[in-house]
Amino acid sequence: MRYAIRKLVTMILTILMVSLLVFLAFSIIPGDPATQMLGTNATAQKLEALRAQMGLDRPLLIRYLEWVKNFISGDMGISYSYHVPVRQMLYDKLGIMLTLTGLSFLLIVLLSIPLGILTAKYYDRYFAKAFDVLNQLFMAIPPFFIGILITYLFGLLMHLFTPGGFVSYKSDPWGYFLYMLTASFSIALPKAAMSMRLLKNSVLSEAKLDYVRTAYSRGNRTNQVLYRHVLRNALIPVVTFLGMTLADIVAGSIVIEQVFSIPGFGRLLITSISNRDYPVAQAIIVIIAFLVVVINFIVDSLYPLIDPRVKKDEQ
Amino acid sequence: MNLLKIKKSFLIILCLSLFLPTVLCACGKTETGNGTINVGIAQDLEDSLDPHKAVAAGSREVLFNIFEGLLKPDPKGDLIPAVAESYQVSEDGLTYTFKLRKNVRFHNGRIVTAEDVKFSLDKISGKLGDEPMLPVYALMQDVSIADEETVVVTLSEKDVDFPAYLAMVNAAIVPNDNPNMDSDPIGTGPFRFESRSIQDQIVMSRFDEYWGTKAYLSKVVFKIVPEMDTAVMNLRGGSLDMYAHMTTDQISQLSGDFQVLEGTMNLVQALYLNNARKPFDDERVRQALCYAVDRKAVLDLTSEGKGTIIGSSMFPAFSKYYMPELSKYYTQDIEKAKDLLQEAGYPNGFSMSITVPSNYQPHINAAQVLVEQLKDIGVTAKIELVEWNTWLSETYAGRNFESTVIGVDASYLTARALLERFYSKADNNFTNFSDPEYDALYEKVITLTDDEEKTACYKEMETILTEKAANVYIQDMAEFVALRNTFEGYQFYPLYVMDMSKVKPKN
Amino acid sequence: MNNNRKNHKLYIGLILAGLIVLLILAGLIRSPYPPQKMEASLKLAGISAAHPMGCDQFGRDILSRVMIGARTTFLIAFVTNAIGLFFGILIGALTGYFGGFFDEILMRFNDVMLSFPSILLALVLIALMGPGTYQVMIAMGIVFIPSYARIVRSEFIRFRNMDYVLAIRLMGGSHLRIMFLHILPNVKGTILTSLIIGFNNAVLCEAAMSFLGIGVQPPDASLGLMLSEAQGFLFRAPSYALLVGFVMICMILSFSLLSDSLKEVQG
Repeated sequence: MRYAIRKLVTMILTILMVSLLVFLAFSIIPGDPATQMLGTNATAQKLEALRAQMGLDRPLLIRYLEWVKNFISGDMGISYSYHVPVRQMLYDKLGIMLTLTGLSFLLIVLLSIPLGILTAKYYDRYFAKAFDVLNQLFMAIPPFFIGILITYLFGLLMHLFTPGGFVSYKSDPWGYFLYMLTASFSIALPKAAMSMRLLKNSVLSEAKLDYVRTAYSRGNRTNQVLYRHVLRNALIPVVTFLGMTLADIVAGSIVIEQVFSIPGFGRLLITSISNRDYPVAQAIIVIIAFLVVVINFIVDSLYPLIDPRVKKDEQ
Repeated sequence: MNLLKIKKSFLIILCLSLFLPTVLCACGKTETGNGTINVGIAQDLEDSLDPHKAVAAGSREVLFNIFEGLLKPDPKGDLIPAVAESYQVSEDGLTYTFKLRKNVRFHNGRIVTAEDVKFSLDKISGKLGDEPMLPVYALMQDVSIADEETVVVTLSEKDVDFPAYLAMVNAAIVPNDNPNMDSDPIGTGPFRFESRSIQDQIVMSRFDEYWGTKAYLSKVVFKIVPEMDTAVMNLRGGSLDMYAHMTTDQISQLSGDFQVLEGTMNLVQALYLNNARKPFDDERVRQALCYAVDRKAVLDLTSEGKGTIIGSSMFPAFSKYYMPELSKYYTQDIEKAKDLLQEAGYPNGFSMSITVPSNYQPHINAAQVLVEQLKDIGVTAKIELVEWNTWLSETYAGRNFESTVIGVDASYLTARALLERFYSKADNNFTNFSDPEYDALYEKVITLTDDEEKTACYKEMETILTEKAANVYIQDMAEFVALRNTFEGYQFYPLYVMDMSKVKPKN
Repeated sequence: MNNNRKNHKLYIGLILAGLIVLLILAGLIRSPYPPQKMEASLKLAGISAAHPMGCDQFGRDILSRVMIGARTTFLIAFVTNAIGLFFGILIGALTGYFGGFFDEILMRFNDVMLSFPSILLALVLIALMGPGTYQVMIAMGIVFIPSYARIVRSEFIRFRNMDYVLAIRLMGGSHLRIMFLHILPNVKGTILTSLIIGFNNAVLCEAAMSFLGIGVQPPDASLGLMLSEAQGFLFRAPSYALLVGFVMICMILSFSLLSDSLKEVQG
């Protein structure tokens, strides 16, 4: 219980720090929402008037505290570019990001765990070695390039999907799902390759340990030993990796969204930073940080479940 | 190895084929030929959907389809009446009397009244508490309603270009009872706003009660595709039917499904020099740079020779003011350039930085070629890419730069739009150009009324910009519109607009 | 059997690494053409004897540009990891060894950094500093610090209470001496492994940043920048993207193969 409270406090502190840093960063970057809104019509007077009108001339700390206060009460402010509440804007985009992250993660798990076990079990067969080569290759290709290759191959040559044919889940849920699935593959493939390799190596090195030999000598069969004993231990590094990967997927989606023309968090984040639309950028970064912190927390809490040797207070 | 990679992909196909085949039926079909067109645009309307707030050229070109002013431009660049049916100017040029067209309807079905017109003009001229939308709108001293169909505008000083300002999207006539212009824009144009999804798309549908020639397409979907390369993929893949402002590089990647229409960007692309900074405060240095540059090579390298070389701050679409001879004033002459540098006290050249906004590839490409060419006269140029917003605040408003490659457009249809920024006291004189003769001419030209005299005066100003080498003028870029072969009828304007009302499905 | 395989990996890794090093060295001495030299008539020219990799959109020789591009990419990966490693070791060693309040503060800060996804942090840092090769190095270096710090810290925690460390302390060895002369050498295996992963991540991260337009800026060249430029000519000159992609893949493969075989030799 004490552990949980402590963890919670650090989580909140982390998020506050993230938001403060972002706030500071934005105050250092040249240009502000006023220059963006006036564009080439800007004059010194107009800028000053608009800044005063938008409250940008007030001290930084006051603006920050106000932002925190509003954020806690669920009010993320109003976008300077779109003049609609940020909360409403992010609602749809969050769905897109969660779908993309979720699907990618699912693909990684579904591809890497069975294949990892399979290639470990039959490590000296020909197909396992082929996967080894394939793995190395996938880890060496930048994800956006995989995305482009998928678009080129499956979209333009084989006409299996329409590049840029993103549809909102409101108008066509199934089409939305399939399009997101295609995009998820480009995020998932390199990560799946890493995770699969990790699992295979971990299973193989675990299999050399004494307890496995003991298990065999007690008369257990290969599969029994593999699934009941080896896998349990071999999964620990994989879980750590997957936890770290989740945060990476969130970041990777920023790039993949560009390739597949998906109007999600990433594109909105990039444009809001370059438009100096602080309320939007701020909210997105804090939400992503929040997700990452929560994911890390979950991963940390999973260890004791898989591996009884890990005690919570060790962290 | 390339083959190898493709072979490996076979294995991916195995994995993917479990999921993918059904995609074909789900999103393989876009609604083309149905009177719907998918148009790719490079950026969302990030400033506003309200025409009185939109400042980005990319926003105005979309809003052009939804809104109209009292007057509007036609594809030839002439002004035609829109919400107004006709207008008269008083002898002294200060009073404009607009006769409103009968039964012009807003998209919500309401008929446009004189009150709406007064409200709109009052709003943009800053009488309702805001700053004037553009400085020129502050000219309107008084807007009054003479009767239900007549509005009288009184100017504080004479300006024969006033009707041109009113033809801009920014002077759109909007209803006086719509508090949500930002999210629910209502105008009188050939298309009505349907919906938007942020960073995704903006949907417009045909306005069937439009007063003029109705649009052919029933629906226009503007899809936001910021990556040009992705846009090419999407055009080829079928999710887009049209994309404007493309370059030769992208056009050459399209398949035979598209017709490519060539137009001009109507902007003045130049290496703009900060005339207040050393060494650019020296006319000879600026001239040396002009002699160092081979504009033809810039065009050849960046756009396969497409585009029009220019020599001053004027582009050919303004045929009345454009002086083709100025484009030949400086031709590449390395020796002369070196001599000029020697004279100015830089026998070994100097180093300079070229600031370029990072979001616009054609300018980055031109800057890369310039860097190479300037090496020949011993000038070491370094490209500094900045974000658009940084460019706006530091380079444009702050004037804190040495040189920059950018395209300057005209926001309204007169020479003044391009030339006033070189008046030494102008707010937007970001190059700090200062020349007493030019200033005198500018002060004179804005008081002239005779069109011929005015034109002559503008031409003199252009010549000064060339002779004093205010900037290294390069070109008015060629631009291409890719339109799927199932459509036809797209027309270019001498302004930065995208008129969808003339596009129709081909039968 | 197993031995054979190990050797395969080693040989392939060595050959690839050799190729990359050769490419970079040759570029340092003399590239076939000046890498910035433009030639309109050679725009996107295909593979020929004069231009073994063809020419890019400005008619520049791709081979020459790959030479300096590979160097830039390598340098970025090197500097990035050097920054990350240096500060990572410093922070990780201090916090791991001493623990306590100092540790708590720095690790919370570390958590803050880690909760920014790497690309996001780089995006914000580049927005702050402006784009450019050095800025990319610094931004990525900062991004890499927390993960190194975390790894080094956990290793130091493991070692600080070991008998031999306690013994040295009893003998009067100073803290600094213990940290950097006695513990650090034991940690180097772990560091080496993460260094190679870090190196490959840096190459991929640079590519992703170039794709987003916040990486190395033209007319400089890096593999990432060239790849994202080449992507715009996929239909007209597919060899451009494939060749640059191939060089990048070789660079990453060589490192992971070498590290693999090293690990297997050690293990």
